[in-house]
Amino acid sequence: MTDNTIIEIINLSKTYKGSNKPAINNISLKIEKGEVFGLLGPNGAGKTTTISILCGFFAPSHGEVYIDGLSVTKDKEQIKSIIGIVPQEIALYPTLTAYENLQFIGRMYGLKGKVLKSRITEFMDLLGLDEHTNKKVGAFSGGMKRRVNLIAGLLHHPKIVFLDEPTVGVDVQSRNLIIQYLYELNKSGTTIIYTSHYLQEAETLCKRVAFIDNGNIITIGTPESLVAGAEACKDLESVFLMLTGKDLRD
Amino acid sequence: MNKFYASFIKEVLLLIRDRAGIISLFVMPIILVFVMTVIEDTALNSLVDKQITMLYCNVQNDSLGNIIKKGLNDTKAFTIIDEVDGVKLTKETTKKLVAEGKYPVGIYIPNGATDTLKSNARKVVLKTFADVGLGKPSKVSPKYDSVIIDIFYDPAVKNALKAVVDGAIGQHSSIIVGKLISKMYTDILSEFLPGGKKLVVDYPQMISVNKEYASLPDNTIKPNSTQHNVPSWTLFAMFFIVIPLAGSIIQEKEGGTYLRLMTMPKMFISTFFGKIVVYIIVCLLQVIILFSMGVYLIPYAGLPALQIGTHFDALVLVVVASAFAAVGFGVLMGSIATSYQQAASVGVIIIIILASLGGLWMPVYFMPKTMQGMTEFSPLSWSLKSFYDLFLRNADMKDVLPNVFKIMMFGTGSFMVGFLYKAWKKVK
Repeated sequence: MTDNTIIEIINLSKTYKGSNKPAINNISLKIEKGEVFGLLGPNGAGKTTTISILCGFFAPSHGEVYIDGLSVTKDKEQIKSIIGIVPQEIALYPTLTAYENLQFIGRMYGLKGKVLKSRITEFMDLLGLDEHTNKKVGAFSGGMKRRVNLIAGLLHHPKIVFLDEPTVGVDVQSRNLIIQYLYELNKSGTTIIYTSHYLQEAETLCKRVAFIDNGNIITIGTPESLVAGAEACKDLESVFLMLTGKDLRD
Repeated sequence: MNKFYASFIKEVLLLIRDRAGIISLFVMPIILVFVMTVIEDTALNSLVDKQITMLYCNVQNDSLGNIIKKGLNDTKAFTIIDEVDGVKLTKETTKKLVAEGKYPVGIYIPNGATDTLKSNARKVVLKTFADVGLGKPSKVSPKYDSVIIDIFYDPAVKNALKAVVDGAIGQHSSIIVGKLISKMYTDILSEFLPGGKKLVVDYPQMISVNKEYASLPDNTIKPNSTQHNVPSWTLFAMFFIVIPLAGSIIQEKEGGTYLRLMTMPKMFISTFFGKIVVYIIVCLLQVIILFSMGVYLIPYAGLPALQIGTHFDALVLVVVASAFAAVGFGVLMGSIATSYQQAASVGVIIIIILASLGGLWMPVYFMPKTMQGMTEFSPLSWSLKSFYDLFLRNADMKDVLPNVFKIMMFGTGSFMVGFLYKAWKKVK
């Protein structure tokens, strides 16, 4: 692990019980500090499984993962305090207000008092939700829920943020605001691991991307290098289709 | 502590904003306890404690009829009426009203019943004297006129009620016949005494029966509908916590909050305790509300108040153990079920089965013998038995400990199976 590497995945495999096909199959990669790394792939490719192992939610079947020098199997609790996760689902309680949701999550990360209150206020302002702090999340639009979901993963100022489809199902304005914010977040030094089906979004946001399909990493590189290296491909989406095929996935 | 507090507050907020949950945890049990106590008061006590209205037609105000009426009145099982809507009963109207199902039982005392009995008694005595050479001998056996008392029953009437009525009539008829015959003996024997002396025979009370409920010393609480239904349905309500609790666990799994919680540092103990403490408090509140209702509100419905015994420490222990078991069961269902609907439907069916087996719906002694043995497999039965012991048998801490131990074991087992299943699913 080099000084600048923050995540190192070595020969990682995961096979769910009852399945004879691995969800991820012997993948290895390194992610550097301050990088925005895109993990892209079709449905069922193994993106969420990879992120779940990185977050300590699942144990790997084989292989090793180091996050900031800590092993995900041995140092799970220490890793949890330096990572933030923004899951694909709106992982919030709909009958609680935005403030109550964030207050609960902040307290679970050990924040309290004025610090917690000021962070909630700051994030709500930054993501255009300051007028909705005391409204129940269940009454929010899809875009507003996504933004609160994002704040919930960032409230404790993690070193590394895992974003699993953070802009799925939101309008263009909300998506734009989220992407802008992620830029700003990355500028402050936060490492971002990002999965999405919006390849145009990934192309503009990510410094490097890995295409994953059927549990294997099929290519890694900067968006520019991947597009340049593929003949007759004008953007990341066409490279993606060329490498993963046009067959429909379940 | 901050994490436990955060989890506790979150659970409280989620619960108080779940209107359906609040209704199922507090409003429905209040209605259920009240309704079931009132309904079963009639069903359980129909034979003894609750008076049944009986039609009584004694047209000539016959003394036999009056004595039987007094005897039936003394059983305190009946309210006896001899007219309906201001009209005196006849044999026909009595039979018709019972046949129409308006009254469960009607009795008709025939005209001249006492005179017939007296005549029969006189014939019996005179024949007896004649047989031993006293009085006028008769070559012809006397002819006795039978007194027929008609009892009309509604076909739906239970056999036990019939037994009470038949027994009362048989008993009082025998008494009056016995008295008439002995009076006749003394009257006729007096005719043989010199100087117009009267023979007086005083029959003392030879048998008396002492009736009481078997219970430990210093306890005079009688079993009744309130003593059965309030603890029974309170336990049922406590275990109904499976719906909101399992629902809360499943919604966290389905909604992604569980994934988020699992990625937080040292979350398990704090979130777990935050959740179970809230639901244990809910169970305790249910007990306080429903038992208070039994003590203070039920009497306004004309029913006996709930008596909670004298060993408050043991009562608290049983309540806390039952709450622990109920919450454990909720956690188990929330861990195993894959959807809210599954947890709610399967959980409720299991509770209904455990409640039936546990004697919550009807006392265990009403069940067939084969089913009575099954009650030992229901944690609700262990809790209910402990409440019975405390409320009816004046039991103390050491008496309830064996059942409390079983209840706690059930709760602990439920928690463990739930956690192990979750861990197994995670590894899978």
